[in-house]
Amino acid sequence: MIEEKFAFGHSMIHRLDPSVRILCAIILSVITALCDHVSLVLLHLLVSIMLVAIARLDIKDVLNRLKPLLGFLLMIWIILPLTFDGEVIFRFGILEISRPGVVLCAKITLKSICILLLFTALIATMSIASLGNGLHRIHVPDKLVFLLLMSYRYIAVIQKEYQRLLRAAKFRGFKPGTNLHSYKTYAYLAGMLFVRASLRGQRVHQAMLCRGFDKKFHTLDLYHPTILNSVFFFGVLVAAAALVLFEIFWI
Amino acid sequence: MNNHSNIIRLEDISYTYPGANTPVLHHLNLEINKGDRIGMMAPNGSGKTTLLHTIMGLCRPDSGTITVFGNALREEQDFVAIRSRIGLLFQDSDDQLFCPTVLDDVAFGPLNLGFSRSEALDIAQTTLDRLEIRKFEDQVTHRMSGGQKRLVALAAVLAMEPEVLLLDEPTAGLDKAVKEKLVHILNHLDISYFVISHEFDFVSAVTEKIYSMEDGRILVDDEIHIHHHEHVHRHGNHPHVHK
Repeated sequence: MIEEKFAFGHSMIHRLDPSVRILCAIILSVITALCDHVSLVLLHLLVSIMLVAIARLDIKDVLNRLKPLLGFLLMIWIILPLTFDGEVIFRFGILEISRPGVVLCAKITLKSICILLLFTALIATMSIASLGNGLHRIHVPDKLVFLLLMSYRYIAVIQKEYQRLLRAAKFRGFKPGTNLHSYKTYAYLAGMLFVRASLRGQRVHQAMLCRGFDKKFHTLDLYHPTILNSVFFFGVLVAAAALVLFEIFWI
Repeated sequence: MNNHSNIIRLEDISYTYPGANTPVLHHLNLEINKGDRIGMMAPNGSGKTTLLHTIMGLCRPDSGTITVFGNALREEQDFVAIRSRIGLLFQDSDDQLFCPTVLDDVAFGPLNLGFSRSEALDIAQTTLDRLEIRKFEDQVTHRMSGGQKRLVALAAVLAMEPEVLLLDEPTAGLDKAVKEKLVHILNHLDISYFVISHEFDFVSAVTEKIYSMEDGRILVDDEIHIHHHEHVHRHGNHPHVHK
């Protein structure tokens, strides 16, 4: 289930217009991803840590969010330094650790943590409904916005349906194991889930038609342009431009 | 032939589901007039839901004519025009509440009807007030209980200010308190409605006449009414299973 842990705060970032935050997150993460120097990535990381601080998020929760990423990074740290060609910096018997491998790992680690922090600070601090609204206003096609909002709305319903099916199977003595019968049962469950989700989709569409759905995205939320939005957006643009120019001309 | 008080008139409607052998609606006739409060009790699979979906144009009959507010409806465009004037409450509230929050959901219809944001907000809040569920307005719909969801779905339908309501098993899966609230709400509505339900107590509390369905046709015979009545009273004090 999706818990919107960071969505309801009172920081400056929480008060920003969702569309401004989405644009800022896109700009900052793109320049971070394209940055080529480890030292400069550290600066990017600094920016994202600052944003997390401004959003006044609980540090423990933020670190918890990083956990799955750290697991993935650990795998890279095990594989890349050993398999990358280049200058050898350590040697344990037949194992060689290469400098370019370590540098690449450091870059991937810093960049991915940086981008995740950016999104935590800017995007996770709004509810999914606001996210849909913001995407709509930066002219993401309505179909995609509906796709996002509907997935959010029905993922819990589908999960409940899955649990109900699984419970029904367990009540009739089903014990999951590594055998053909279990695989078959899970395949049936998955198939049933698809059928039900598709039927549900039809009914939801009917319900939408009954209430005058005209394929357009309407929303109740109203955001007035405020100075805060402009200042923040301008600040992010300047910071982004500075980081890019710094990389092009001085390094 | 066209009575002025006619809101909905189905004539000689037949419908067979693709791949099925027997028609679910078979030369069916139905009239709902202004001020009518009609109940419908019939076994599962007798075509009650299909009947409601036919009126809304969600399922197109093989033959027969559908006349709503004096206009014969044939094409999708004809149905689009009347859908905002007929409110259909679905069996499963999860099908009907697809917006992130309660307020969004209740305002969805008015926004589609072309009301401005502030007007839609106003309509939504007034409707929630009317059903005494304003306190839920900022809640996320999928985290609500079944009874709360049903009331919100009803609010979403009523926010369109329909001239007639079609309710598909509104009490299914609800506890006594919510059922009583529904009875209270329905009895204080000043529009016509047509209620499908399996619960005699509920139907008899909110309607004036009870129809049934058999072999794809509607039975409006008074005897049916009496039969159901006697049946329920005879076993009333003992737990038992209907059908």
